[in-house]
Amino acid sequence: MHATRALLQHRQPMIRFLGKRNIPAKLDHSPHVHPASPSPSLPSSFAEYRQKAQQHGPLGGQQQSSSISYGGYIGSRSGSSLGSVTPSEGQYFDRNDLPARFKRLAWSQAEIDAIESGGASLF
Amino acid sequence: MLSRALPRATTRQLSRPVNSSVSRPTFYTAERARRWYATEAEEKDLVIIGGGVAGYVAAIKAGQAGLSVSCIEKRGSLGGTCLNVGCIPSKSLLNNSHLYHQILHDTKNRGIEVGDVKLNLTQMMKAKETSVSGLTKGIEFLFKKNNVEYIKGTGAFADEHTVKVNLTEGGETSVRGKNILIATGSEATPFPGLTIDEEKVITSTGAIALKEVPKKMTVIGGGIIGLEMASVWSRLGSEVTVVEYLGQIGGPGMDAEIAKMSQKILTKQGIKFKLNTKVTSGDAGSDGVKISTEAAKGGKEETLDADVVLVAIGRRPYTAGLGIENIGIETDDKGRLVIDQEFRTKVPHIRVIGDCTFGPMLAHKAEEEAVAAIEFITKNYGHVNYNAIPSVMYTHPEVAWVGQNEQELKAQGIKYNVGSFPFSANSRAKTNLDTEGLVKFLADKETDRILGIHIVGPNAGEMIAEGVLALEYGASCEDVARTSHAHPTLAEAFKEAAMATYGKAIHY
Repeated sequence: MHATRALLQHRQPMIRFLGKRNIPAKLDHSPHVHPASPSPSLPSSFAEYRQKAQQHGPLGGQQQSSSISYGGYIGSRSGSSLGSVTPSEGQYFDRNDLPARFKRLAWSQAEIDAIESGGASLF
Repeated sequence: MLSRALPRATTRQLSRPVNSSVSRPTFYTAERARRWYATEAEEKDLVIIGGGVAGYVAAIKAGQAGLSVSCIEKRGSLGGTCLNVGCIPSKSLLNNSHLYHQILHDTKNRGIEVGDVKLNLTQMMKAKETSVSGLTKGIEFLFKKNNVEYIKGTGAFADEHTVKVNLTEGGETSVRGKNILIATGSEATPFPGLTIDEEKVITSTGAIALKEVPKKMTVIGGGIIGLEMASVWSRLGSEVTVVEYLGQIGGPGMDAEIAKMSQKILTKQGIKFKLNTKVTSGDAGSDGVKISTEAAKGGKEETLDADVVLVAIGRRPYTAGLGIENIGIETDDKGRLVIDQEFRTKVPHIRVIGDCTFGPMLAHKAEEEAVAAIEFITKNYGHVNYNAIPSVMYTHPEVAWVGQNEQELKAQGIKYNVGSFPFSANSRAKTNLDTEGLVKFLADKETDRILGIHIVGPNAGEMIAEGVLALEYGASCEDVARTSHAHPTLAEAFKEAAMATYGKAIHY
């Protein structure tokens, strides 16, 4: 014990206990290049998508201080806890701005045939 | 508001019962759910495409975090390339072929007299299959334990939230996810001009399932996979020649001194090497495969005859049939899916991990990413240190390294100290009569901080874990050297190499 104390007077180990691991208080969730990517920049499509995409309000809008900004937290909390999706007064959502999954699908020829034949073409 | 704006689909009854024996047209079963607005199907918190190491680890981690998870896998068994046709079966063959080789050639001087030693390749393959099936079934059990839904089939994106699955047992289904994780892995890169039949012209998949020991085997590519398979078949009696385009074996990550040393050891074991050699063409006929080669810089031509040719020139991301064109996410020039620092594609709820994106194609790297990706979803924070990912080659002796090698440090102009310790001076290696190899440390000249650790020697793959920990913690060589290591162990060589970097080793 004494020997160790005497030794440490002259040497400060580089390995040190840094304390319990905690999630940093401030996190930047805006997209950056992946550390293992050979390219120095992200394709412009990342920013473009976020400009037009809507998930609990526009993704590309003002960066929120909460952890839901840029979709980092999608699905991990209930929708109600994320707040209202109602647009502010004077603002309206256009159905055409919704993701493709909310839009009507075009009828396929097979479906048209099924309707016209009273379902006979299904069998 | 949206629920009011968009009419919900109501469940419609069929006007007449459908005879279940009649096969239904595709759109009837799959498109029906999508015909109306997408509010009908249950939405999972996470849908994972791929049940390999990346996918299954993510699925278990997500299940543990309480997310509702579906994992889609088309192979019919979980674990991906690693468990089914990669790391695990090859380790089984490497271990058992090493035992066989040792019993044949290395028993008399140990005082063990053995009788007639014979190879039973069928049984060796069965032992491999037992290991594989035990592990893959273990993952299925863990899926059940953690409430992960396992869907056997081929998944493809229908839209940004929906994955359509062609079920292995027939029929289709689709799953919707708030988050989607792509973990589709990689496949062996084919060699242009050679058709892979997995019998005469094989990839690593065929190399772990040969029905007899080939008399002559040529391995195209002197990387880790090529050398491990070369070792297996050489030990079992094949005459193996490795053709490598570069001037060193082990791939570009391996330290040049270590690569040279392991090449020397493997040559002594009977493997022939042709470095700086380019394969120009190949011709598979009924009597074997002919490979034409020439010097990489042009010139000297040669033809190599073999019964079996192993193509081990690397792996490429596997995203065929995934339907990424349906959602417009990008790949780079090497086919890797482009992601940001949180594994997100341009569509933020679709993430990518493992071999099909950036970074080394290693199972343990994929595992780290899987855990981090789930933590990004559940806690909004994850961490992978790409500078501290070890590489291991499971030949005998094993080769393992972490961090930077001498070539890389020189190229960056970093001043460094080198310290090494040979296993021939280690007591445990001596008692094991297994003394080939060394441990080598590279440390910053000024601060003594460890920059890279390179090992060739017995148990290197296990020993490197200490090096990874030291690198992750930002340790100095002195930190390692002043840590007590049990005696007599191979790990003492590790400690003494650290000592040799800032001072002098005791036993050398």
